[in-house]
Amino acid sequence: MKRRTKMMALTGVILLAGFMVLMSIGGFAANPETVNVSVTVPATIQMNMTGMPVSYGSLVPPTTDTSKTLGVTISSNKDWSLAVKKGGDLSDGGVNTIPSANFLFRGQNPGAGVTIVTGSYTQFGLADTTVATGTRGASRTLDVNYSLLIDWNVEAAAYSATHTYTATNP
Amino acid sequence: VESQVSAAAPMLQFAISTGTIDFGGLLTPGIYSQSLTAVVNSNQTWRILVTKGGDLTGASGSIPSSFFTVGAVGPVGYTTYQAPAGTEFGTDTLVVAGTRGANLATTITYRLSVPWTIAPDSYSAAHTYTAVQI
Repeated sequence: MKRRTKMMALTGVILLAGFMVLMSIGGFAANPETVNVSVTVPATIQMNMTGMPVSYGSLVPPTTDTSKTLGVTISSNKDWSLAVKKGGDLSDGGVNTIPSANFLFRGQNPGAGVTIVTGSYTQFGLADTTVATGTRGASRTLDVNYSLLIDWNVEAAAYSATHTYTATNP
Repeated sequence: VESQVSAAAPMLQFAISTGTIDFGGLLTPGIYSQSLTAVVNSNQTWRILVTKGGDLTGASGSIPSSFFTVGAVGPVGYTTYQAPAGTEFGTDTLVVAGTRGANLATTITYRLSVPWTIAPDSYSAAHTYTAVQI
């Protein structure tokens, strides 16, 4: 009987000790887990333009029309630049063209983060001409004004041309 | 003398579904989210905490803490607290708390805002999740 009592007491002590150990463990952190987070942000640029197409309708010589303006909005996560080039001079598709010196552009009204590079009226080139530069950020804005001179030397005809604007953040 | 000792010892098991959150390699400016699941078995009330090792950091700088947040949706009927969407990571930030139960799954959603002011780069961070009984 004594032996049985001792065994029971010993068993109780062991169970109690185990319980105390578990109690001490249970109140602390369990299984800390680590999550590694990664993300890659590429160089990105977006450009929106308003005021296109540029249509003058009928212009009676002599006149200089400066009413046409393109609105440019650029969002970029790097510093950027905006350039323009012409596909050719205003042409009627035949032999008649309007001289390059008659059709000019300039950058104007820079918003925050924008620097106008070509701020006075300049001829379009066949290669890129930088209009403006800007810093990283959303919705940087500027205007591009057009000036078109129709004098008596311009043959009466319908003329058209294409200009390509390119925004880059190299 | 006979003595009997019986008790339900506090037990806590905790696991998360993934150790990696990869938002991918082409995150143009915008808002993105990724989720993981945390599962708890506990015979006492419990909570999950998270500690950030730092902000998302790359060679060109860090993404501000306010742009990278967390929110939780805990198990229905067992949740006493769940971090609302937009909670910033910190030290021992409370994610979710609940009552005892088995296989208690919490969806933890990361929300990352990438504005145009964030420089292109590869960013990384480490978060440590800890489950405790209370």
